[in-house]
Amino acid sequence: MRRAMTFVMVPMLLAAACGGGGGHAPVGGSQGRQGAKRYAAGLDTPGPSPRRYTSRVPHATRRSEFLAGVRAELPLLLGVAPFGMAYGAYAVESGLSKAAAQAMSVIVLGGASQFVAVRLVEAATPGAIVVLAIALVNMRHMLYSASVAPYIEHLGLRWRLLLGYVLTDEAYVVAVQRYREPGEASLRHWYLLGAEAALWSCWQVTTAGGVFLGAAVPDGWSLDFALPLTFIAIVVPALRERPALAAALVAAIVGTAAFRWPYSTGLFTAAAAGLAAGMMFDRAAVRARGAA
Amino acid sequence: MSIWLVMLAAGALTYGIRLSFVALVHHGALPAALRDGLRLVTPAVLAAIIVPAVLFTGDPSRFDATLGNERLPAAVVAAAVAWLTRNVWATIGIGMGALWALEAVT
Repeated sequence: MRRAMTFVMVPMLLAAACGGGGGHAPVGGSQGRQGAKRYAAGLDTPGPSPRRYTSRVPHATRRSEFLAGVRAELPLLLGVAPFGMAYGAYAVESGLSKAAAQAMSVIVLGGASQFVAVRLVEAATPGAIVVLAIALVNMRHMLYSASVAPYIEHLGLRWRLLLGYVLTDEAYVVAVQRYREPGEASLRHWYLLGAEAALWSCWQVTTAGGVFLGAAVPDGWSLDFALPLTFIAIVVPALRERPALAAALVAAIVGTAAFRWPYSTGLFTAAAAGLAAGMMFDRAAVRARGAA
Repeated sequence: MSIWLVMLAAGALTYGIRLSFVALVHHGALPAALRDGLRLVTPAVLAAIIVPAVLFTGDPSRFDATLGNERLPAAVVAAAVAWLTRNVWATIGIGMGALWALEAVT
Protein backbone atom coordinates (compact mmCIF):
# COMPACT_ATOMS: atom_id res chain seq x y z
CA MET A 1 0.00 0.00 0.00
CA ARG A 2 2.67 2.41 1.02
CA ARG A 3 4.84 1.61 -1.98
CA ALA A 4 1.85 2.11 -4.26
CA MET A 5 1.23 5.54 -2.75
CA THR A 6 4.86 6.58 -3.21
CA PHE A 7 4.51 5.50 -6.81
CA VAL A 8 1.59 7.88 -7.21
CA MET A 9 3.15 10.67 -5.20
CA VAL A 10 6.43 11.07 -7.05
CA PRO A 11 5.00 12.22 -10.38
CA MET A 12 2.54 14.45 -8.53
CA LEU A 13 5.34 16.14 -6.65
CA LEU A 14 7.27 16.57 -9.86
CA ALA A 15 4.25 18.18 -11.44
CA ALA A 16 3.97 20.41 -8.39
CA ALA A 17 7.56 21.54 -8.70
CA CYS A 18 7.06 22.33 -12.37
CA GLY A 19 3.86 24.23 -11.68
CA GLY A 20 5.59 26.31 -9.04
CA GLY A 21 8.53 27.02 -11.31
CA GLY A 22 6.37 27.99 -14.25
CA GLY A 23 4.48 30.39 -12.05
CA HIS A 24 7.46 32.52 -11.33
CA ALA A 25 8.42 33.26 -14.90
CA PRO A 26 5.83 35.92 -15.65
CA VAL A 27 6.11 37.91 -12.43
CA GLY A 28 7.62 40.79 -14.33
CA GLY A 29 4.82 42.81 -15.79
CA SER A 30 2.61 45.14 -13.87
CA GLN A 31 -0.95 44.20 -14.35
CA GLY A 32 -3.99 46.39 -14.72
CA ARG A 33 -6.47 44.23 -12.85
CA GLN A 34 -7.41 45.66 -9.52
CA GLY A 35 -7.75 42.54 -7.41
CA ALA A 36 -4.62 40.92 -8.72
CA LYS A 37 -2.75 44.16 -8.28
CA ARG A 38 -3.77 44.52 -4.68
CA TYR A 39 -2.74 40.97 -3.84
CA ALA A 40 0.43 41.15 -5.88
CA ALA A 41 1.47 44.49 -4.43
CA GLY A 42 4.18 42.96 -2.32
CA LEU A 43 5.63 40.66 -4.94
CA ASP A 44 5.43 42.32 -8.33
CA THR A 45 8.63 43.87 -9.54
CA PRO A 46 8.33 46.72 -12.00
CA GLY A 47 8.08 45.28 -15.48
CA PRO A 48 9.81 46.50 -18.58
CA SER A 49 6.70 47.17 -20.61
CA PRO A 50 3.32 47.57 -18.95
CA ARG A 51 1.81 48.42 -22.34
CA ARG A 52 2.23 44.83 -23.42
CA TYR A 53 -0.27 43.77 -20.79
CA THR A 54 -2.83 46.51 -21.16
CA SER A 55 -3.02 45.93 -24.89
CA ARG A 56 -3.58 42.23 -24.23
CA VAL A 57 -6.40 42.52 -21.71
CA PRO A 58 -9.24 42.53 -24.25
CA HIS A 59 -7.70 39.53 -26.00
CA ALA A 60 -7.09 37.22 -23.07
CA THR A 61 -5.80 33.82 -24.10
CA ARG A 62 -5.95 30.56 -22.18
CA ARG A 63 -2.30 30.95 -21.40
CA SER A 64 -2.55 34.56 -20.26
CA GLU A 65 -5.55 33.75 -18.04
CA PHE A 66 -3.82 30.74 -16.51
CA LEU A 67 -0.61 32.68 -15.81
CA ALA A 68 -2.57 35.62 -14.41
CA GLY A 69 -4.31 33.19 -12.05
CA VAL A 70 -0.99 31.77 -10.93
CA ARG A 71 0.38 35.27 -10.42
CA ALA A 72 -2.64 36.44 -8.41
CA GLU A 73 -2.30 33.39 -6.16
CA LEU A 74 1.40 33.83 -5.39
CA PRO A 75 1.06 36.44 -2.60
CA LEU A 76 -1.51 34.28 -0.81
CA LEU A 77 0.95 31.41 -0.85
CA LEU A 78 3.03 33.33 1.67
CA GLY A 79 0.24 32.55 4.11
CA VAL A 80 -0.32 28.99 2.88
CA ALA A 81 3.32 27.92 3.10
CA PRO A 82 3.65 28.01 6.90
CA PHE A 83 0.40 26.02 7.27
CA GLY A 84 1.75 23.36 4.95
CA MET A 85 5.07 23.20 6.78
CA ALA A 86 3.38 23.13 10.19
CA TYR A 87 0.95 20.43 9.06
CA GLY A 88 3.65 18.18 7.62
CA ALA A 89 5.83 18.50 10.71
CA TYR A 90 2.90 18.01 13.10
CA ALA A 91 1.63 14.96 11.21
CA VAL A 92 4.88 12.98 11.32
CA GLU A 93 5.55 14.11 14.89
CA SER A 94 2.15 12.68 15.85
CA GLY A 95 3.03 9.29 14.40
CA LEU A 96 1.65 9.39 10.85
CA SER A 97 3.92 7.79 8.28
CA LYS A 98 5.53 10.19 5.84
CA ALA A 99 3.53 8.65 2.99
CA ALA A 100 0.23 9.02 4.87
CA ALA A 101 1.00 12.60 5.87
CA GLN A 102 1.74 13.56 2.28
CA ALA A 103 -1.16 11.55 0.83
CA MET A 104 -3.62 13.37 3.09
CA SER A 105 -2.54 16.65 1.48
CA VAL A 106 -3.47 15.18 -1.91
CA ILE A 107 -6.65 13.33 -0.94
CA VAL A 108 -8.24 15.66 1.63
CA LEU A 109 -6.56 18.92 0.60
CA GLY A 110 -7.89 21.12 3.39
CA GLY A 111 -5.45 22.60 5.88
CA ALA A 112 -7.50 22.94 9.04
CA SER A 113 -9.27 19.61 8.50
CA GLN A 114 -5.94 17.82 8.07
CA PHE A 115 -4.73 19.17 11.41
CA VAL A 116 -7.95 18.04 13.06
CA ALA A 117 -7.58 14.59 11.50
CA VAL A 118 -4.05 14.18 12.82
CA ARG A 119 -5.06 15.25 16.28
CA LEU A 120 -7.98 12.82 16.42
CA VAL A 121 -5.98 9.93 14.95
CA GLU A 122 -3.28 10.54 17.55
CA ALA A 123 -5.94 10.32 20.28
CA ALA A 124 -7.04 6.92 18.88
CA THR A 125 -10.46 8.27 17.86
CA PRO A 126 -12.63 5.81 15.88
CA GLY A 127 -12.24 6.28 12.13
CA ALA A 128 -15.85 7.17 11.43
CA ILE A 129 -15.65 10.06 13.91
CA VAL A 130 -12.48 11.34 12.26
CA VAL A 131 -14.19 11.25 8.86
CA LEU A 132 -17.15 13.21 10.21
CA ALA A 133 -14.90 15.78 11.86
CA ILE A 134 -12.96 16.34 8.62
CA ALA A 135 -16.19 16.79 6.67
CA LEU A 136 -17.51 19.21 9.29
CA VAL A 137 -14.43 21.42 9.10
CA ASN A 138 -14.65 21.44 5.29
CA MET A 139 -18.39 22.20 5.16
CA ARG A 140 -17.71 25.84 4.37
CA HIS A 141 -16.40 24.84 0.94
CA MET A 142 -20.03 24.40 -0.02
CA LEU A 143 -20.25 28.19 0.04
CA TYR A 144 -17.51 28.43 -2.55
CA SER A 145 -19.14 25.73 -4.64
CA ALA A 146 -22.45 27.61 -4.67
CA SER A 147 -20.71 30.90 -5.40
CA VAL A 148 -18.59 29.63 -8.31
CA ALA A 149 -21.24 27.34 -9.86
CA PRO A 150 -22.96 30.00 -12.01
CA TYR A 151 -19.62 31.03 -13.53
CA ILE A 152 -18.59 27.56 -14.63
CA GLU A 153 -21.91 25.87 -15.33
CA HIS A 154 -21.31 26.17 -19.09
CA LEU A 155 -18.20 23.98 -18.84
CA GLY A 156 -18.17 20.23 -19.42
CA LEU A 157 -18.37 17.84 -16.49
CA ARG A 158 -14.67 17.00 -16.68
CA TRP A 159 -13.70 20.65 -16.26
CA ARG A 160 -16.06 21.04 -13.31
CA LEU A 161 -14.75 17.88 -11.66
CA LEU A 162 -11.20 19.22 -12.03
CA LEU A 163 -11.96 22.76 -10.82
CA GLY A 164 -13.99 21.44 -7.90
CA TYR A 165 -11.08 19.41 -6.53
CA VAL A 166 -9.04 22.46 -5.41
CA LEU A 167 -12.01 24.75 -4.68
CA THR A 168 -10.64 25.83 -1.29
CA ASP A 169 -10.35 29.15 0.55
CA GLU A 170 -7.33 30.69 -1.12
CA ALA A 171 -8.22 29.62 -4.67
CA TYR A 172 -11.79 30.82 -4.30
CA VAL A 173 -10.85 34.25 -2.97
CA VAL A 174 -8.62 34.98 -5.96
CA ALA A 175 -10.82 33.51 -8.69
CA VAL A 176 -14.09 35.08 -7.61
CA GLN A 177 -12.53 38.54 -7.86
CA ARG A 178 -11.60 37.84 -11.46
CA TYR A 179 -15.05 36.51 -12.25
CA ARG A 180 -16.70 39.64 -10.86
CA GLU A 181 -14.73 41.92 -13.17
CA PRO A 182 -16.57 43.22 -16.21
CA GLY A 183 -15.59 42.13 -19.70
CA GLU A 184 -15.14 38.97 -21.70
CA ALA A 185 -15.27 36.04 -19.28
CA SER A 186 -15.32 32.96 -21.47
CA LEU A 187 -11.73 31.94 -20.64
CA ARG A 188 -11.72 32.76 -16.96
CA HIS A 189 -11.87 29.13 -15.89
CA TRP A 190 -8.22 29.08 -16.96
CA TYR A 191 -7.60 31.80 -14.39
CA LEU A 192 -9.28 29.70 -11.71
CA LEU A 193 -7.24 26.71 -12.86
CA GLY A 194 -4.02 28.75 -12.64
CA ALA A 195 -4.81 29.87 -9.10
CA GLU A 196 -5.69 26.30 -8.11
CA ALA A 197 -2.55 24.85 -9.70
CA ALA A 198 -0.36 27.31 -7.81
CA LEU A 199 -2.16 26.64 -4.53
CA TRP A 200 -2.11 22.87 -4.95
CA SER A 201 1.59 22.84 -5.81
CA CYS A 202 2.46 25.03 -2.86
CA TRP A 203 0.44 22.85 -0.47
CA GLN A 204 2.15 19.64 -1.66
CA VAL A 205 5.66 21.08 -1.64
CA THR A 206 5.37 22.70 1.78
CA THR A 207 3.75 19.56 3.23
CA ALA A 208 6.74 17.58 1.98
CA GLY A 209 9.08 20.17 3.50
CA GLY A 210 7.30 19.93 6.85
CA VAL A 211 7.29 16.13 6.74
CA PHE A 212 11.06 15.98 6.39
CA LEU A 213 11.62 18.87 8.79
CA GLY A 214 9.28 17.33 11.39
CA ALA A 215 10.98 13.95 11.20
CA ALA A 216 14.24 15.69 12.14
CA VAL A 217 12.86 17.75 15.04
CA PRO A 218 13.49 16.36 18.54
CA ASP A 219 10.47 15.68 20.79
CA GLY A 220 11.46 18.34 23.32
CA TRP A 221 10.51 21.11 20.88
CA SER A 222 6.77 20.81 21.70
CA LEU A 223 5.90 20.80 18.01
CA ASP A 224 2.34 19.73 18.83
CA PHE A 225 1.82 23.34 19.94
CA ALA A 226 1.82 24.22 16.22
CA LEU A 227 -1.78 22.95 16.12
CA PRO A 228 -3.38 25.53 18.43
CA LEU A 229 -1.08 28.21 17.01
CA THR A 230 -2.13 27.46 13.45
CA PHE A 231 -5.79 27.54 14.40
CA ILE A 232 -5.28 30.78 16.34
CA ALA A 233 -3.81 32.30 13.16
CA ILE A 234 -6.93 31.25 11.23
CA VAL A 235 -9.63 32.07 13.78
CA VAL A 236 -8.54 35.13 15.74
CA PRO A 237 -8.54 37.63 12.83
CA ALA A 238 -12.10 36.49 11.98
CA LEU A 239 -13.38 37.29 15.49
CA ARG A 240 -13.90 40.95 14.61
CA GLU A 241 -17.37 39.84 13.53
CA ARG A 242 -19.73 39.43 16.48
CA PRO A 243 -21.48 36.20 15.38
CA ALA A 244 -18.10 34.52 14.82
CA LEU A 245 -16.91 35.73 18.23
CA ALA A 246 -20.04 34.36 19.93
CA ALA A 247 -19.68 31.03 18.11
CA ALA A 248 -16.02 30.73 19.07
CA LEU A 249 -16.50 31.66 22.73
CA VAL A 250 -19.38 29.27 23.33
CA ALA A 251 -17.66 26.45 21.42
CA ALA A 252 -14.46 27.01 23.41
CA ILE A 253 -16.25 26.82 26.78
CA VAL A 254 -18.35 23.78 25.87
CA GLY A 255 -15.37 22.12 24.21
CA THR A 256 -13.29 22.50 27.37
CA ALA A 257 -16.06 21.30 29.68
CA ALA A 258 -16.82 18.30 27.45
CA PHE A 259 -13.19 17.50 26.61
CA ARG A 260 -13.27 14.08 28.31
CA TRP A 261 -16.44 12.89 26.62
CA PRO A 262 -15.90 9.66 24.70
CA TYR A 263 -15.35 9.50 20.93
CA SER A 264 -14.92 13.25 20.55
CA THR A 265 -18.64 13.74 21.14
CA GLY A 266 -17.58 16.80 23.14
CA LEU A 267 -16.12 18.33 19.98
CA PHE A 268 -19.34 17.90 18.02
CA THR A 269 -21.46 19.15 20.92
CA ALA A 270 -19.22 22.20 21.26
CA ALA A 271 -19.39 22.91 17.52
CA ALA A 272 -23.19 22.65 17.57
CA ALA A 273 -23.48 24.91 20.63
CA GLY A 274 -21.14 27.47 19.08
CA LEU A 275 -23.02 27.39 15.80
CA ALA A 276 -26.33 27.95 17.59
CA ALA A 277 -24.90 30.87 19.58
CA GLY A 278 -23.43 32.45 16.45
CA MET A 279 -26.66 32.16 14.51
CA MET A 280 -28.66 33.67 17.37
CA PHE A 281 -26.27 36.62 17.26
CA ASP A 282 -26.65 36.83 13.50
CA ARG A 283 -30.42 36.99 13.76
CA ALA A 284 -30.29 39.52 16.60
CA ALA A 285 -28.04 41.71 14.45
CA VAL A 286 -30.43 41.47 11.51
CA ARG A 287 -33.37 42.44 13.75
CA ALA A 288 -31.42 45.38 15.17
CA ARG A 289 -30.67 46.64 11.66
CA GLY A 290 -34.32 46.26 10.72
CA ALA A 291 -35.46 48.27 13.77
CA ALA A 292 -32.96 51.08 13.27
CA MET B 1 -10.40 1.77 10.42
CA SER B 2 -6.95 2.32 8.97
CA ILE B 3 -5.67 5.82 8.37
CA TRP B 4 -5.85 5.17 4.63
CA LEU B 5 -9.54 4.29 4.74
CA VAL B 6 -10.20 7.37 6.87
CA MET B 7 -8.40 9.56 4.35
CA LEU B 8 -10.21 8.07 1.36
CA ALA B 9 -13.63 8.40 3.00
CA ALA B 10 -12.94 11.93 4.25
CA GLY B 11 -11.42 12.88 0.90
CA ALA B 12 -14.51 11.63 -0.93
CA LEU B 13 -16.82 13.54 1.43
CA THR B 14 -14.77 16.72 1.12
CA TYR B 15 -14.68 16.40 -2.67
CA GLY B 16 -18.45 15.91 -2.60
CA ILE B 17 -18.85 19.12 -0.57
CA ARG B 18 -16.77 21.08 -3.08
CA LEU B 19 -18.60 19.55 -6.03
CA SER B 20 -22.02 20.04 -4.44
CA PHE B 21 -23.17 23.05 -6.43
CA VAL B 22 -20.53 22.87 -9.14
CA ALA B 23 -21.42 19.41 -10.40
CA LEU B 24 -23.83 17.44 -8.21
CA VAL B 25 -26.99 19.45 -7.66
CA HIS B 26 -28.46 21.97 -10.04
CA HIS B 27 -27.38 25.24 -8.54
CA GLY B 28 -29.68 27.74 -6.99
CA ALA B 29 -29.38 30.43 -4.37
CA LEU B 30 -28.16 29.13 -1.04
CA PRO B 31 -30.74 29.72 1.74
CA ALA B 32 -29.58 32.60 3.95
CA ALA B 33 -29.65 30.53 7.15
CA LEU B 34 -27.50 27.81 5.60
CA ARG B 35 -25.07 30.42 4.28
CA ASP B 36 -24.67 32.05 7.69
CA GLY B 37 -24.34 28.66 9.35
CA LEU B 38 -21.61 27.53 6.98
CA ARG B 39 -19.61 30.68 7.71
CA LEU B 40 -19.72 29.97 11.44
CA VAL B 41 -18.84 26.27 11.40
CA THR B 42 -15.10 26.80 11.10
CA PRO B 43 -14.60 29.29 13.96
CA ALA B 44 -16.80 27.11 16.19
CA VAL B 45 -14.95 23.86 15.48
CA LEU B 46 -11.49 25.38 15.65
CA ALA B 47 -12.17 27.27 18.89
CA ALA B 48 -13.47 24.01 20.42
CA ILE B 49 -10.09 22.47 19.55
CA ILE B 50 -7.75 25.38 20.38
CA VAL B 51 -8.82 26.04 23.95
CA PRO B 52 -8.73 22.44 25.27
CA ALA B 53 -5.45 21.89 23.39
CA VAL B 54 -3.98 24.76 25.41
CA LEU B 55 -5.61 24.02 28.77
CA PHE B 56 -5.10 20.25 28.93
CA THR B 57 -1.38 19.48 29.06
CA GLY B 58 0.95 16.67 30.01
CA ASP B 59 0.76 12.94 29.46
CA PRO B 60 -1.72 11.79 30.73
CA SER B 61 -3.31 15.20 30.17
CA ARG B 62 -4.75 17.21 33.02
CA PHE B 63 -6.58 20.52 33.19
CA ASP B 64 -4.29 23.43 34.07
CA ALA B 65 -5.54 27.01 33.65
CA THR B 66 -2.77 28.59 35.72
CA LEU B 67 0.30 30.49 34.53
CA GLY B 68 2.30 27.38 35.50
CA ASN B 69 1.00 25.98 32.21
CA GLU B 70 3.40 27.72 29.78
CA ARG B 71 1.07 27.07 26.86
CA LEU B 72 -1.54 29.46 28.22
CA PRO B 73 0.53 32.69 28.16
CA ALA B 74 2.17 31.57 24.88
CA ALA B 75 -1.27 31.11 23.29
CA VAL B 76 -2.43 34.52 24.56
CA VAL B 77 0.66 36.14 23.03
CA ALA B 78 0.02 34.32 19.74
CA ALA B 79 -3.64 35.42 19.74
CA ALA B 80 -2.57 39.03 20.23
CA VAL B 81 -0.12 38.73 17.35
CA ALA B 82 -2.80 37.18 15.12
CA TRP B 83 -5.28 39.93 16.02
CA LEU B 84 -2.83 42.74 15.35
CA THR B 85 -0.90 41.43 12.33
CA ARG B 86 -3.17 38.79 10.70
CA ASN B 87 0.14 37.21 9.75
CA VAL B 88 0.48 33.43 9.85
CA TRP B 89 4.28 33.33 9.98
CA ALA B 90 4.36 35.84 12.85
CA THR B 91 1.64 34.03 14.82
CA ILE B 92 3.26 30.60 14.62
CA GLY B 93 6.82 31.92 15.01
CA ILE B 94 6.19 34.19 17.99
CA GLY B 95 3.89 31.64 19.63
CA MET B 96 6.48 28.86 19.41
CA GLY B 97 9.19 31.28 20.51
CA ALA B 98 7.14 32.34 23.54
CA LEU B 99 6.57 28.72 24.55
CA TRP B 100 10.25 27.84 24.23
CA ALA B 101 11.27 30.94 26.18
CA LEU B 102 8.81 30.18 28.99
CA GLU B 103 9.87 26.53 29.12
CA ALA B 104 13.52 27.57 29.30
CA VAL B 105 12.83 30.00 32.17
CA THR B 106 10.77 27.61 34.33
